[in-house]
Amino acid sequence: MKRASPGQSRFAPYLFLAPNLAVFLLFIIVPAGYNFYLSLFRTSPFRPPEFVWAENFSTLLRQDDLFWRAVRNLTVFVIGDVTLITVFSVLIGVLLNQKIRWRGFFRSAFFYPVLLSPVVVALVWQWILNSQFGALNALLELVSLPRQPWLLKPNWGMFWAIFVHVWATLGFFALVILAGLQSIPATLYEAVTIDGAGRWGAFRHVTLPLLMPSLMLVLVLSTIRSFEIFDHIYVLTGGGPGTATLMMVQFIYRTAFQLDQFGLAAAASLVLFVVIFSFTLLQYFLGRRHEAM
Amino acid sequence: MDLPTLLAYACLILGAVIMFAPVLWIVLSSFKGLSEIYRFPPTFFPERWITTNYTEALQKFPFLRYLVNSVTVTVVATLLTLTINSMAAFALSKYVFRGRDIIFLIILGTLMIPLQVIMLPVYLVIAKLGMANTLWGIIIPPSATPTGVFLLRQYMLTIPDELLEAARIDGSSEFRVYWQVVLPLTVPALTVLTVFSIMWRWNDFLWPLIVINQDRLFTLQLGLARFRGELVTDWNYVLAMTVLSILPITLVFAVLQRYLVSGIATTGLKG
Repeated sequence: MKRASPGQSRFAPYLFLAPNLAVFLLFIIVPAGYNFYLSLFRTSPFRPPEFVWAENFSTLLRQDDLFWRAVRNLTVFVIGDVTLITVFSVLIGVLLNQKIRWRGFFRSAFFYPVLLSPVVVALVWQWILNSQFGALNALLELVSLPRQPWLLKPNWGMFWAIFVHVWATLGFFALVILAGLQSIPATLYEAVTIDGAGRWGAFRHVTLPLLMPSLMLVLVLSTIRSFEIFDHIYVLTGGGPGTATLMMVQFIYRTAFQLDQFGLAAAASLVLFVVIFSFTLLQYFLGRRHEAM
Repeated sequence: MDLPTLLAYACLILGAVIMFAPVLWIVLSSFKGLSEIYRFPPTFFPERWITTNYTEALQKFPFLRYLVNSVTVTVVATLLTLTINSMAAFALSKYVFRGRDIIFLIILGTLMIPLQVIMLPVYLVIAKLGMANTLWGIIIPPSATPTGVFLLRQYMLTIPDELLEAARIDGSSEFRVYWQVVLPLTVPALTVLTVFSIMWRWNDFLWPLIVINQDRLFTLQLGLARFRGELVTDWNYVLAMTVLSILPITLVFAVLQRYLVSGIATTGLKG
């Protein structure tokens, strides 16, 4: 039983907590509040900041084309990214769960790109996708197909942005699914086989329902991460060609640090926060429900 | 071997190839001379293996300085993270005190506020504190991680209170209880947090990008990112430096892959 002993240990917990709390307060809580505050001002390099209530939000939502560009790009990216990650992580998780040789090797193979930094991942693929010297175009030439300016076309740029991110993070989610699969008791499969279910029946009635918690986790976690995307894309395409792959975090970065429009940037940050927060809440409650089960 | 199993092998082999091939490709490319690199269609293996890409890159670019900065940031940040997070976890797991639940909720709350959403105000805060454009500015703000606190707390809860009581009866101060009783018993969780911290800090890009605007303080990731864009002309050097950057983690991976993968699978779920 834990008890607060008298004397020295009365202050001890506070002292132990102090450094951590100081960092949390100073660098997370205070800035979060500051964000609200900043969004209420219009900042300019020529005048002191003006208090403008919700005008920044209305500017963003009604006049700012780039903001809506970022919203559209981000929506496309999140849907593509999450769909591919969910589908392939289940596929690979199921495959890795089979009784095959070299399982450990394959498991590690899919996990390797997860360890690489986003900058390295983007540079590696930039080299492969280079229009003039890239290996992908070389492979196309081999089968007599025309070379493509991969990262210079808007639609292909978005495709590769999604592909590269999926490539770099799939292994992690495949492991989550694999862990979920391995926690399904073998006895359930035996019971269902005795009842005459085939492979597909077993999948539908045993695997899928019991995999739901892991599946939900993968869905929500990958969605949250997708909304926060920046590093890979910034290095791979810089948001281009033009603004074809400009996402919300880059929009905020640009508005805040390249255009010095603090008010607008803070407003956009809050919009992004509301979206991410909803999914984070969802993840938290799903986790609690799973624990209770 | 029946058809489904054959298909399974085929898919897995294809998958493994897709995972390893890109890195293999830049390693091979990095040993090719300039003219061979830019040849199209490219050769697979280098016709002539050269190492000048590496030697010249190290001379032309401050790669070593970037490396030193990255190592400094990673090591200091990890030590700081381990220290303050374990202290906080100790307080939350082994004491009952006023405000404990509120503080727990606050830390839970910070878990829901990612850096990307507060990057502007955090930068303004560190600028006011004079830490802009310094390595400390990179190190300190992300050093208190709620994930780390929860991870360590969860583990510390399993340490029997009798051990702490015994130490107190023997006259230990609270700090010694933390330092000599609890911390050594938390080594497994501390190891996991260390691995995570090293990975996060080494690979970090957005925050250093915001904080630093002086070349001499660039971390490795910032230095490499200078070469982004379709119009890069020094690909031979970029390839060499990229390969150098992934050498450490690749070696660690090759040696420890089984432990790394199972360790992260069982404990880690952090973005």
